[in-house]
Amino acid sequence: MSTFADALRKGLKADDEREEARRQLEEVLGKAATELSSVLGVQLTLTVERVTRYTPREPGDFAVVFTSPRYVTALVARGKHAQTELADVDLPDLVFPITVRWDDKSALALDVEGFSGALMNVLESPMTGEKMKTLVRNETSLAAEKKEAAKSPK
Amino acid sequence: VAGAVITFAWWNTGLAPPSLEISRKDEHRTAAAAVVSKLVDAEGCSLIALAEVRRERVVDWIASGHGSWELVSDTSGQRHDFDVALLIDTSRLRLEEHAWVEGYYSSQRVRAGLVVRLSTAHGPLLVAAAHWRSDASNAKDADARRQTAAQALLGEISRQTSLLGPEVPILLMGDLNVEPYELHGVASARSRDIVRAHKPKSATDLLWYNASWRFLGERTPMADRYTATLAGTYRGNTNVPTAWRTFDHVLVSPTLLGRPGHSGWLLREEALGVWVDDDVYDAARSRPRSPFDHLPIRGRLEWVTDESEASR
Repeated sequence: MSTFADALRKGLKADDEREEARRQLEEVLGKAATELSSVLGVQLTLTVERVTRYTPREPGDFAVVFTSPRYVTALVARGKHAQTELADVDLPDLVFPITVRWDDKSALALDVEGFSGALMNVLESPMTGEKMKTLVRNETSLAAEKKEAAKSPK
Repeated sequence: VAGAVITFAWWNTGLAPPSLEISRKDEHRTAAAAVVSKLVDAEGCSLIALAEVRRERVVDWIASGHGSWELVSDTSGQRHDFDVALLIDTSRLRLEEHAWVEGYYSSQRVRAGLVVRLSTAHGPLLVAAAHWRSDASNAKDADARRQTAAQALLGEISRQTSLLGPEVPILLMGDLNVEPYELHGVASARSRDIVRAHKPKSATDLLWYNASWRFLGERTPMADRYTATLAGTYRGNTNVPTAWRTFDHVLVSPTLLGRPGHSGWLLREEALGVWVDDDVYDAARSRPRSPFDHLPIRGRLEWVTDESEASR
């Protein structure tokens, strides 16, 4: 017969596994970010985080100019000054299975190896290429603007 | 979009294998195009899902003057791109959204299928088309891949139902490369009553009605001698009566079985079956006509408003 102690041991083990899955996920994102930074010549990070999206209300809505916020989890590439969202992510509490959605694609990854494969596929997309080029342009121009602003007298 | 009937078809054309010689492929393509044209002209199909049509412009197979068609196919150009495609008659159906769904089995990419959201004259319809790995090279690995594909495909369908509501009708067609009794990872039943009675415990708890069990039936006693037979949807090169396999499936969500007192899209099961037209089936030899190895499945959804009709 199971005891409360057994139940707690299961909970502790599940939390350890979740922590390990998170660590593995961050390791993959960190490795990918290092490689991307080297290709683009701009220091980047890759994170899975909650972001706010503003969706236009229904057509014909009186307040169509306004948008209602909604929160989604996304794969975000971030420089020092600019950032871009590369994919939507369904990240369950236990980390895996994780679902990544980008362009017209959806990928289910059962483990960290699968997530690496899905991430490769996201990066191969022409849409991602376009987003990354824009990110680098914005990053470079914002950095220049900031530098200019720092030089100009107060 | 207009219409109270959607005639649909699923067919694995067998055209994709890269091993096929160019001249044989041209011949095969011409024959496949004739079958698809006939599904449009003679059967009035407005939704045709095809497999093994990688990088084929199948929309060009339909003769001009036979409506306006939209093609959903994988144009990514990736080495392992999807080989399924969907032809949509835009006078009856409107494509709203599509997703190519994949899963990862270890580090191996598994193509799960295509999920599309269509607008009909009577609201949304979800359609999924899939072609899963066969047992041909590594049966154990293939089963794991198919289960990963099932999980990924159902995940995307579940995402759509969470947006559209649990009552949205769903039609899943595919060459799943397993017989209905071997299907793992997709909860399904051959009994309409069991499917209707199922009470979902969560948004992902979907019990499908698998209409393909009916295609298994063999009415001729099997023996080692040649027997006239049609007991499935696929027949490879082996010349024994037991060569038939039912790899091609049509599964529907409970909503498509009708609900008393509700209007809705209904699967007209009496109009669903293996399509044994002369162009694709060689009756004299009881097998798909060369160069094909699969037979199409043709079926019909009908919009019903009458309570007694809806409860059929």
